[in-house]
Amino acid sequence: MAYEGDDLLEEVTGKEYEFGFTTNIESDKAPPGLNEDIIRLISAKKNEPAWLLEWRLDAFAKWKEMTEPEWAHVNYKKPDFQAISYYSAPKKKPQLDSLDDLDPEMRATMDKLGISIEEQKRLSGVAVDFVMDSVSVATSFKKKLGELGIIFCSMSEAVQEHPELVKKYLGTVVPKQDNFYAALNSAVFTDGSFCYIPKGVRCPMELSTYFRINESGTGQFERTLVIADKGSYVSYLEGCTAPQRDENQLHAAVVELIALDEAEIKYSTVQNWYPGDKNGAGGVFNFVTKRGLCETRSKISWTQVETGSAVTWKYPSCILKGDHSVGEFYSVAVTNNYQQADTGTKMIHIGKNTNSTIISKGISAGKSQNSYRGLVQINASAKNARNFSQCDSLLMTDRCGAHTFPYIEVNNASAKVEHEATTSKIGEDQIFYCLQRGLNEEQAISLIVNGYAKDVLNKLPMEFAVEAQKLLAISLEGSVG
Amino acid sequence: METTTVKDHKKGAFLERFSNADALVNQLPKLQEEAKIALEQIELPNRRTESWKYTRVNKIIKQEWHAGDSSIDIDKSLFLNWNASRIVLVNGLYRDDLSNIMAEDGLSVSSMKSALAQQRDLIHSHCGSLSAHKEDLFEAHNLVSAEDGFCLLVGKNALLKESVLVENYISGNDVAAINRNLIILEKGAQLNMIVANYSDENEVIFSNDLSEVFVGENAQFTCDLVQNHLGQEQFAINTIWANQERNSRFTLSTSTLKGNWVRNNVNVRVSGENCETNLFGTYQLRGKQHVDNHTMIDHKVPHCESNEHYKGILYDQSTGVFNGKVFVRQDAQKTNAFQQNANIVMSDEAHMNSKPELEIYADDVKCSHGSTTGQFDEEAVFYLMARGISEQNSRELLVKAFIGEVLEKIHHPEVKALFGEEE
Repeated sequence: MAYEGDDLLEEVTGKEYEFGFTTNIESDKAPPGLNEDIIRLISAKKNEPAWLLEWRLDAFAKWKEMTEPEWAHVNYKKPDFQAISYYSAPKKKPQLDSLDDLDPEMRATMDKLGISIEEQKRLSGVAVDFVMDSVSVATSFKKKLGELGIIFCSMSEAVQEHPELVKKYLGTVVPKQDNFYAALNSAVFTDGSFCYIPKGVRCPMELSTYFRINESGTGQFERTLVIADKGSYVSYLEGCTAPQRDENQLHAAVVELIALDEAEIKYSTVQNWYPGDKNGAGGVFNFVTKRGLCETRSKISWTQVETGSAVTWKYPSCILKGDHSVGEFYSVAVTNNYQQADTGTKMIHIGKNTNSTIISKGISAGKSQNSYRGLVQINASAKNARNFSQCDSLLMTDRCGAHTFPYIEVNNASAKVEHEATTSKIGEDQIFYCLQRGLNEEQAISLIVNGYAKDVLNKLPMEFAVEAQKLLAISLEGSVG
Repeated sequence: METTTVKDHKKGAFLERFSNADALVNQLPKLQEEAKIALEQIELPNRRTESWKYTRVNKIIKQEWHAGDSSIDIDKSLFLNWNASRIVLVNGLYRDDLSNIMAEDGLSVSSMKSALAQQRDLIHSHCGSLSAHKEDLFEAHNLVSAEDGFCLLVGKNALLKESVLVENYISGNDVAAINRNLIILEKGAQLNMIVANYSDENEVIFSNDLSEVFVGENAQFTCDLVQNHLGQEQFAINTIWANQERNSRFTLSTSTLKGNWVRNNVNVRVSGENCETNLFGTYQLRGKQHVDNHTMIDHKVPHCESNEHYKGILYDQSTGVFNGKVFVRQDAQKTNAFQQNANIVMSDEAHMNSKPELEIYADDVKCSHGSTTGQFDEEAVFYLMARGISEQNSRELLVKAFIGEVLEKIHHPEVKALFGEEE
């Protein structure tokens, strides 16, 4: 393991939710409520072109006709959409030339989150876009990326500076009427990240976005659009945290990935929104639509470590449209206390010789409910399509639940689809073996859980993998039954 | 709103055809009331109804069904040489003249109609106590329309040596046959049975039959269900609800030999500790056949085991659906649940939808499920051909081997023989 036993113990006993601080940054916040005026206000604040406002209003009109989905295996009090403020931006937002000009409070926030930009500049070189309360506040390494023709900026900036790209691709993978929360996001999204990798360019560093909800009474609705042009490669990381509050905050994001011919996108998420306290009060509602479109011989790989949020409802999907395209989904979802997660993926095979892999590892502790829900659809045109799915669940206590709802639809004779799932608890003999070798029970469990999730953690970029391992340990703190 | 009215109208018109003054439920006022409320509230199943996601019922709803002639002569059977007890139902009614019950200690068989007259308390306490007539439209429909069925009782510690054969014929045109059955195994009883459902070519029929099976403490129930619906426009819904008490065993195999549109619902509640539940199924679908197998095993108590194995081959434009659900409730520690669904798709126009589900609320359990859909291993075909076996024979051999795993679980050699299996 990456760190010594004693450090872990300290971390495990000392921390509940590490990122539960609030930053006192003055913010410019719209009054709560959702109507056309608010959307016009957001659009005006962002100085958006007319077509985008039209697009938003159309999404809003469609959203009003939709009903909130109820099929997921989760139970929660539905958010009151009129009580949320749909726009909140840190007030001081100068045009930054370098990160040194950043508001000191903001700088402190970033340091607390561990985005020590200086350090990362020195060590590995990760370009970070930092989104606080739905507005992107800082993007680093812009110049270096610019030399290669890579565009990595906030969504609002992209709308201003690259409207042709935004107009061409926005909503092509997740249409605005796709589902209830995607429609809501389309109507009110305030910012997010935008990334374009030109033809044949291999992005030399990891691109990273850090999302944070700071203000109370706000929701976060960001929209991420990643376009990898022909033959390019990008690895994209996403992290999220929120302050500890006893209200439920709504996070409804949309992520669209487009991998053109022979491109590859690796999208990794470490989701650590505030999960609520031990009694289930507060926490973030994480209702996210993530989808990628694969053209010929391209590849999209989703890796996620889900430890936060009171309620998660998230299905990163791949539409394997091009022949020989590849979709991958690696997930570790940990739920503790009263958390509920309904997560999984959809692999839609359209092109010939398409290939998808799903590895999902669920860990339930406390009184939580953890569900895997996935769809593998092989269309008639997807000759020789191949899918392998493995969904394992680990139960830590006798009060939690682990559920599997796979949907497998095969519509041609040359497809091979395999699905397997197991549910079990940590073997007593495994714990006994570790105890015998001088580990205490908490360490033993952490070791076993990390081993169990290894298939997925291995897919994460190195910086994230270490963080994810620690997160697993913290999330499972005190869960040993 | 308009569409709702149209749907209500459709549902109303459908149910209207089944209003039956002789329905069993007329003597069971509490159930009648429950079913009536359910029928008003439950919408017609459509694509958005999770349990009917892959199976369409429009044709059933539209058709002008009427009750068939239940006094017709029956001259064919898949089990002509059967010498043990035989129960015969024709178009939903129990036929005393065709049924032949061997005198055996502990076995009592009667029609539901006469059971309701003679063993009122037994019917009152059992009928409708398992079924989901409050949630499912067709189960409620069965409850309000069924006029008859069979009631089979095996007394305490009676180990029946001979199997019981139930033959259920549906015949006529635009004929709907609805029956409702009760099977009760008292403490320590043992019963093996075959249930065979038939309908003829060139006839348009709809059947909706439901059996409630009570497996008492230490009792053992084994049933092989055979479905042979030969015609094109035939719709069959077959529902089984079972409840298991302590130390009991429930084994059911479902063999769909033929059926244009078949929906099987098998639901088992495991209410006593140390039980064993086995569900097996095979289907080989050709033409435009549509077969939907829904299973549910509800583990409520600790120390039980369940095995589920469904295998199918899909040719032509056929559609197969498998939806297996295993619940493990919070108290059901030490449960071992195993579920497997394997399919071979032989044609590009065939469809397979598989949905193996696990819902687990207890931690000290071993549960697994698997689902595979694919083709024959071409190397295996090559291997056989290299040994001088023709391609067609090689493939037939592999089909046999594939299905064989489930066939060998079938209890009765007479049923295995239907697949051309020699003992």
